[in-house]
Amino acid sequence: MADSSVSYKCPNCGAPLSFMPGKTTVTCEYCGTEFEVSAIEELFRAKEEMAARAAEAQEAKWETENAGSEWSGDEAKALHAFTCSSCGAELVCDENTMATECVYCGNPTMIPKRFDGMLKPDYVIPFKKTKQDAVNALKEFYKGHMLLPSNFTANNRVEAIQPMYVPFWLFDSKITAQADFRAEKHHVITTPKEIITEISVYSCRRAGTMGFERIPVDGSKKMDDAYMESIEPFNYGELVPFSAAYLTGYLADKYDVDAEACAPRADKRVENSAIEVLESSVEDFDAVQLENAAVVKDVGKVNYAMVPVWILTTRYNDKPYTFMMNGQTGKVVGSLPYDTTKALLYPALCALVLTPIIYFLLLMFT
Amino acid sequence: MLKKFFGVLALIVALSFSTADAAQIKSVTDKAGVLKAEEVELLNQRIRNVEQAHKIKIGVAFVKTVGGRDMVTASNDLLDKNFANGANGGIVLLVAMDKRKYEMSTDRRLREIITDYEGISFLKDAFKSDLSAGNYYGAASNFVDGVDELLTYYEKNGVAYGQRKPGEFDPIAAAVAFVTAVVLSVFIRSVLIGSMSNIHHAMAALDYLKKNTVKLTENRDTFLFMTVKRRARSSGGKRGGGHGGGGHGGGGGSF
Repeated sequence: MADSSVSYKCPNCGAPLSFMPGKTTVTCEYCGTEFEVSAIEELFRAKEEMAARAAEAQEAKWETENAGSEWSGDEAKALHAFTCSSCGAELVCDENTMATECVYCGNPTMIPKRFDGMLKPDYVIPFKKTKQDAVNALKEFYKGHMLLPSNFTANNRVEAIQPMYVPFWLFDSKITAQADFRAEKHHVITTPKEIITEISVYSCRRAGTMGFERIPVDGSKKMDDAYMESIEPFNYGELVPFSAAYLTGYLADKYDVDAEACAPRADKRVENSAIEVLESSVEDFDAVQLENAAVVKDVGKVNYAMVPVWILTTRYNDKPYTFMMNGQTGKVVGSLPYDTTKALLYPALCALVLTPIIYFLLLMFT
Repeated sequence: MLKKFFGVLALIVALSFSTADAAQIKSVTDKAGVLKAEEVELLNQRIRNVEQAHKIKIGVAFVKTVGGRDMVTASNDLLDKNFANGANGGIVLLVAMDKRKYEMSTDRRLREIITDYEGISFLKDAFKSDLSAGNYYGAASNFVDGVDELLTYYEKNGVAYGQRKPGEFDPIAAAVAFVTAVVLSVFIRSVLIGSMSNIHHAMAALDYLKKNTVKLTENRDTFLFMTVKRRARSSGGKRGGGHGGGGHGGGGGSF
């Protein structure tokens, strides 16, 4: 049976190939041979086509075999099996997995069948941060949190560290915005008996045009939107045209939320920012309040890109904690547990120290 | 030369007599005709005793009217003009019969001893009922006794009536301090808990704004209207609304 997956193996020694963070070439970790991305693409294109055809055939067979079995139609649609070309193991992944590694032999594997019927990404931001960078960054992230349970870091073991290319839509837009603000100028006159405040009220109209470039919105249902928005921003100076070679050695998902569905999130951010820009031009006033605003999109363009994210999972008191690191900039985001005893003790200590200080200040100034 | 010397000496003597004459201003003035002559004399005697005992100046004036001036200004003027030269300060009680109003004024020094909040309130309690009842001699007498009592309290305790001695525990301040500290601690707790997560939705996209594309096409400010807010100036501390500035203290009311 033909392989339904393609292992990116070194043409020189046969070892698994990985795209090394921070490099522009694909490197064999074992013999050190470096390959241009275009050369690897060429080399494996034929294999991928063959693997895709094999996967189609296998898929049809799998559906036939499972007709009338315990799998529901939705489950069968969501789960897909493929064969590891390195060790032959039968692996199951979800419908969006484009690249993964074999859980048995660790072989980096692409699933070209998943590239069918979907858009090819326009760009990719290659991984710059290594696994060790991610571990170190997580340790650094723990520091400075006074309420972190003492045994969280002591007994803490990172359960899983996964590098993943997450599908993102990058929205470009040129907009025309118009907003009305109510602004006030305060003039204070002090007499021996009273303080007189003259408040002059103005209506300020501002209109203008502006452009936004590559506002990122993740196209993956699996990835929490708040996490993905928290790891921003990205340095688009390192954005390169997409090549599947960059995905080798990493997990990669294809999008399951299309650009149309993601657009409102980008639109909302553009609208908020446009109003903020217009408001910043209402100068020399003591108070400014938005009355109404209208933002019209003149030009909108969308690109599809794969963005590098390290996903780190740890466990504390049988509860999993997920952290994510921007694979390009190294920014770590996540929610840490807090010690409820410390959360009561520290404020109580604060109250204990502050009470006499405030008491003596009151006596001094009254 | 000798003539010049005697001339200057004569001027100094003349000035001394005129100052001594000014110092002879009576403590009690009754232009409203509400006191008998012997009552005025008794009050003057009583006031002299209190003045000597505490090194202060006390003035009591019953007038038919203060004219166009307000009571605070009139009482402050009376104090500054005639009763401001006491070593420990001065105080006056001015009673205007046409408006049935009274006003007390203290100078900067005596204000520390007879505070606007507790001291003046104590004096009001001492004489106001007699004023209302038409017992003007009793009211003036009680006012002088009240001043004597407040000065004696100060000399004995080292602090003004109604104020705490240095180092004395203040339960109200302690309660305010405790509640403030608890509120601050709850705020600190919420900040500490909030700092455990840096996950948040991005509301804006300013990182992706191309700054050189921002062009304002309309920039118009239109004046709509003006409103005026007036707020009475607080003169700080427990002054009970202030007393016309110039460091004066005091208070008054109707009877």
